[in-house]
Amino acid sequence: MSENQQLPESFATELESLYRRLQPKYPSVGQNSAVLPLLHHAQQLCGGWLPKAAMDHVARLLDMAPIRVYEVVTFHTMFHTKPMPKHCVGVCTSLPCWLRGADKLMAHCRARLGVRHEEGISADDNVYLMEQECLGACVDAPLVTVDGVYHGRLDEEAVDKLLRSLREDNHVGS
Amino acid sequence: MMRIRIDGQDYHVDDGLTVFEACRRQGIEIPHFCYHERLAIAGNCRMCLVELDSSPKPIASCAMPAAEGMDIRTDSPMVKKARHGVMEFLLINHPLDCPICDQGGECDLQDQAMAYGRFHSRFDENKRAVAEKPFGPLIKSSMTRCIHCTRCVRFATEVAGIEDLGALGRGENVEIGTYVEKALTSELSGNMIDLCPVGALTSKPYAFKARSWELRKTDSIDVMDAVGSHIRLDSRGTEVMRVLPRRCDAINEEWISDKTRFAYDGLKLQRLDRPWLRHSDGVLRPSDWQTIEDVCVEKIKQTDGTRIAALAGELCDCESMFMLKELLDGVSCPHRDCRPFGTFLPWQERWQYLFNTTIAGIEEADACLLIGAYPRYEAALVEARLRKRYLQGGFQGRAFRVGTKLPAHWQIEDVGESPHSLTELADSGHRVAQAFKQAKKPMIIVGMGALQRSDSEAIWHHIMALVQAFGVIRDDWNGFNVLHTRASMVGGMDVGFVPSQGGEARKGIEERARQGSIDVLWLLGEDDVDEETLKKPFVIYQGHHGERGASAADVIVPVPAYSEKDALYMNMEGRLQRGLPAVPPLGQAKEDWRVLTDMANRLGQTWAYQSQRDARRAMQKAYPLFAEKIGNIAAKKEKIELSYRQNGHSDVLNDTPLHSPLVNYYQSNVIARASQTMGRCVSELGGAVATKEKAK
Repeated sequence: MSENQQLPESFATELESLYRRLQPKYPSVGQNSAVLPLLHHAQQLCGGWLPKAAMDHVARLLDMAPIRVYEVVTFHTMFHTKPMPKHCVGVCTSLPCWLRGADKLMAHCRARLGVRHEEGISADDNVYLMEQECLGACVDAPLVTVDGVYHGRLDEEAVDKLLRSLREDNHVGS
Repeated sequence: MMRIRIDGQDYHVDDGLTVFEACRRQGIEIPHFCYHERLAIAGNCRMCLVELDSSPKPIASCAMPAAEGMDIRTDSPMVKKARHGVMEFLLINHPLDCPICDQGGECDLQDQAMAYGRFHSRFDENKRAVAEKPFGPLIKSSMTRCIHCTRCVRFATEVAGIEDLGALGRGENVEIGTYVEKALTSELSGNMIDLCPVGALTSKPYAFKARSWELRKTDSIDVMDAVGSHIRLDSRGTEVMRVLPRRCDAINEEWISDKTRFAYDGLKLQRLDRPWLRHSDGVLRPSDWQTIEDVCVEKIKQTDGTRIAALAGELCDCESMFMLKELLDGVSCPHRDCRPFGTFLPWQERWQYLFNTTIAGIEEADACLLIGAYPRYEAALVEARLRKRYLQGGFQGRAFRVGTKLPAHWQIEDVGESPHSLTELADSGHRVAQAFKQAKKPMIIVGMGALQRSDSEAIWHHIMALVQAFGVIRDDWNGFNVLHTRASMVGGMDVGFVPSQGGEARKGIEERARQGSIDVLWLLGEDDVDEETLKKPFVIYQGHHGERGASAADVIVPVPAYSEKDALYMNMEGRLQRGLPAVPPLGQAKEDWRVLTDMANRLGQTWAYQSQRDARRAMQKAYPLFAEKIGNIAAKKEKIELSYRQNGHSDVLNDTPLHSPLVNYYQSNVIARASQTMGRCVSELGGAVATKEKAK
């Protein structure tokens, strides 16, 4: 089962060394704050998602109850608890982006990618489409992230271009 | 003190209060869901919004500290509108299925929706549905009804000490859960049902059984452990429908353990509802009161007093033990005991067998040593209090345990398993000795695991040496505590249900019975006896459940269970408490005082008790402790002279680790063993504490 996936070999040492670098940044009573950078790194090491073993590892490292880490992971849209396709497209649907037409972009992405539900994997299994909470860059609304990179002031045409580049990338990749 | 203005009126309130508490103390109720006075403040339901003159937006009063000169309005149009808005949002995803919800009639959301809800919903979209969560055999979940107040999460984390529950997801997708499928292993989990302000967590055994307004509520006292929790028995007709906690800050705060709450279905099963008599062919047959009393009286008359013995079980009340003791005195029988097999516990001075620090007093202690005591299983509310003390800080590195390493819900340092470690602790270089030396209010908790062994007398000697070396008993502080597991034990020792002059204790009684030198054995609700012991003597079983004791009995005398009688109990602190009957005795069962008075009179003792009250008065006359006000700790001794050398001796400690005598938390007494709910708990949650090892 993918949930019980083995962690990469270097996982423990890499996380440990990152934690050692982070430690001085936080006060002794606030060491738990390191949970976010550690999780980001863990997600990267695990290939774009966080298996339970990875979250438990972070919890042990910070001496937190595992449930507290699960809470953090499920709260943030940038963490994934299931294996992800190659690419991840997120459309911000918070208020300023919505005012600037985010739901039209979302519908457009859905149609283009062949995603039937609100969020999901594209028909060609290449892209995961999701809604995102406010990205903190409302000045460029509406925003779309592609694999973590922000693209702002978009219309349907610009989104098409982005999606096309992903598909081409896929062809190159495979 | 500071001055704040609430609804145009000036009040002086204590410093450090929140706006919510300040208002509440003036008698101004503010609607709320997530706030609970015994849990951390969360401020996430937003129902307690009030208006503050210096703030443009309404504020959440539960999370806002009150400050000098604040002008607060709790009844302005703005507040009303804000609360209406909050309520509308809370109800957006709420299924509004009150007619099929068990919380109906005692639901905070229902009540407050009456005050702040709209008559019709404006929400045309689909409501969300949430999958049920597996919360085990005791809690039924209906998570669609959840309003995410997080009271259950905070209770689990703070009070119960199981950090397994959390709020997962975000925004509209928040769900309460454990993420991984996991049973909640707490002995206090049932309290989440009471805490849940809506019908998301309800009682599984009580599901669809009754409505709150149909139930008659009786204040009573719990007998499932020696804590003596204050409970409310909710009954309908002749049936106890559920058990709920009552608030009592000195004992159980407002929690009760799962066994207390859920074992009530055992009151309906395996009950003795008529007298039984074993005929000459060896078969037990239903009988009648006249016959069995004749048989018992005749048997006792024929038997010499020294060949009669009596054992009292763990659910007995004080009056019945007192009366049986009087009856036995009347036939000059010295053999009787209310302590379990092999217990060494002196009764000459009251402090020697009490939880002297008191349960609330635990919060003052600054060092702690547990010796063969496992409060998590033996007295779950003492565990909750120890955890509360631990969370206050300063307990780390000052709490130790001698005994097997059973899991606890707070951090405790193990300093050895066998009683030999007791001798090491006294050494002044040992970290336990050092921690105790610095402590101002040190406490030692001695459990039954240390007192029910073949070497208990020697253990007692060493414990007393520690008590003296560590200065556990001081003029203003008594830190010596015995953690009892049986509700009847302190009361039994208080009424002298212990061997009198020339009498045998429990162990001796059992040995004599096996040898055949005890002819009549009277079991007052005692089931924890070997078959071997019950083979030879004529056994009178006076109790309410047909189990080991009754099945070996020659005469079965049916009497009411704790939910059916008005009786006094002493809890482990020596606190006098009174339980009241919620339902009448079952079938032909007769109250203990009636049975014993009839028998005594026919034995030629002239007791003129006309009622339970007469019997109680006689007991109060003989033991003034029981004349104390209900709820008080009776007769505290001013000055304690340590005379430990007279009790116990120093040789023969054996190597066996100190085990808990409890075999299983969920099935520790006859009622709990008869309960199907407790049976389900055992099969689904385990709950095993230790294997029974009798010191023989």
